[in-house]
Amino acid sequence: MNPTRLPIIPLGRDAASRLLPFVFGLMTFLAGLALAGVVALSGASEQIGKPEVDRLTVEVQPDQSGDTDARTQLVIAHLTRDPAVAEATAISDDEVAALLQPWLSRDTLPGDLAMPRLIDVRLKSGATPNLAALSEAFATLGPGIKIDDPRTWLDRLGSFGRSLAVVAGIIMALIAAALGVMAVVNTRMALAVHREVVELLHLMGAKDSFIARLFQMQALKVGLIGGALGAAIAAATLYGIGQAVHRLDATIFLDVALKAPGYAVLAALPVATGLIAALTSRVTVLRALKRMP
Amino acid sequence: MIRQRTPASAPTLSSAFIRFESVGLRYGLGPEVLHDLNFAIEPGEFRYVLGPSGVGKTTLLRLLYLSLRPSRGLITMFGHELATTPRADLAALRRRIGVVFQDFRLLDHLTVVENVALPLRIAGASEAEIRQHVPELLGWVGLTDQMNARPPTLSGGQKQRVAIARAVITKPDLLLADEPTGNIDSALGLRLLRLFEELNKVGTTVVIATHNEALVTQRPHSIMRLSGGTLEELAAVAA
Repeated sequence: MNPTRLPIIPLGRDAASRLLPFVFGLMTFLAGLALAGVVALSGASEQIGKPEVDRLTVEVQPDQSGDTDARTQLVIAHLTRDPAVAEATAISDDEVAALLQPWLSRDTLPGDLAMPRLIDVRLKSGATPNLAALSEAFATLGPGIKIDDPRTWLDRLGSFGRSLAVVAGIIMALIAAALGVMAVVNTRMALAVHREVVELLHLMGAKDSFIARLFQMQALKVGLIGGALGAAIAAATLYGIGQAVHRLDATIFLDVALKAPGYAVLAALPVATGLIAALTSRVTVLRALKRMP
Repeated sequence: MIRQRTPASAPTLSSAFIRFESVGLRYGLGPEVLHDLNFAIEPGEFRYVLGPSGVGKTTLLRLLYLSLRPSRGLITMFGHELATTPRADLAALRRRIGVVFQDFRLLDHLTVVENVALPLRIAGASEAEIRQHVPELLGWVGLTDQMNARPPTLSGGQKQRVAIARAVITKPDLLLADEPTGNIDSALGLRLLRLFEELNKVGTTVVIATHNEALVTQRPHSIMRLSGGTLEELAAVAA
């Protein structure tokens, strides 16, 4: 007797089925990239969402009176009266020029350019200044006095990052749905191709679950193989991007290089791919068999 | 010689193993191809369904192996009224039926052994049981040397015997055969019929659909003649 156990239904031998692992692989690859996006953006949002900022800046723009220094001193006086403020110091013109140097070289900076005066405000630890009251007080000193609180735009940036993470999550869900649809289409094709064998098994008394298991195990196998392929390529891609970003030291980019937990989730993607394929295949077969007498 | 035994409209139905009552069948919205079938088959019987090609013998067998549901009437199989039997329970009833299809329906991608083992796998038999029973049965039908062959390489007669082995491997309560002698010479046909008779002797109820009256005369058993979509029950005596 031949010891080799042959598959009861020769699934996966037609041309369309042979391509399926690559389609699943591509989808898992895209899901891996979306996952990296979710992880990176969530991490960045979390980081941004908890700013430990103990400084703010007040900008005093020159006005027609030309006495910017006097207005600056009045602003400092208002600031130091706020109990949250530890220290308020006017930044010198030289320091302002140094800040502008990366954009406008010192040589091209015209000497009579009216530059705003900046006040560096250091806050007491954990204290929050009454910005509304300060803004109101500054308004009495004339136009062009602005408080630049980094926490405001950091909050907005954090919110934007969280929104992007949600979008990346939705993309992952869509990829999962597309994967399920592919599994359904492929299972229906396989049911049509192997209709006679399925009917024969049904007439021999095979339970629906027995027949469904044949399809679902094949779908699981294809999902795992395709998923492993896609996840491996995604891991290599993300590692490569991470290394490139690291070499650039470009902190402006989000750190898309996955850390160990991210790689663990990436490693779970083939399992998820396999399970989605197996489950949808099973449901498709069971629904088709219900139409048989 | 064939003589009428009982009128088709008045079968003994009370203790029937298989019972058809006023059964009619139509495909879709077409005309009825079978109408007013009334008969009962008792355990251990050997019956022929006799009639010319195209008269509906295969359709009647399909009703018997639960491939079709009747358009009207009641069918009882193994004490279960099919109209009220939950779909999930029909699989267990089908496992009590062995079928030798007219076109054999062997799976070309499987070996002879795997084809014959299929009903055992469906029934959940262990590998040890399969390894014990399948070669034994293949020896009985004379196919020991073809165990690892695939159906496309077999002759018509060999395929027929594989189909029979597959149909009887689970020792079914009911064996149905659709034109089992249709593709083979008369000598081999007689040998196959003897094989069916041996199975019948050990308790399997056998129903054979055939158009071959000569064969029926040579191996006489109860006969149901199908004509014009209706059935008359006859009894046969030895020639």
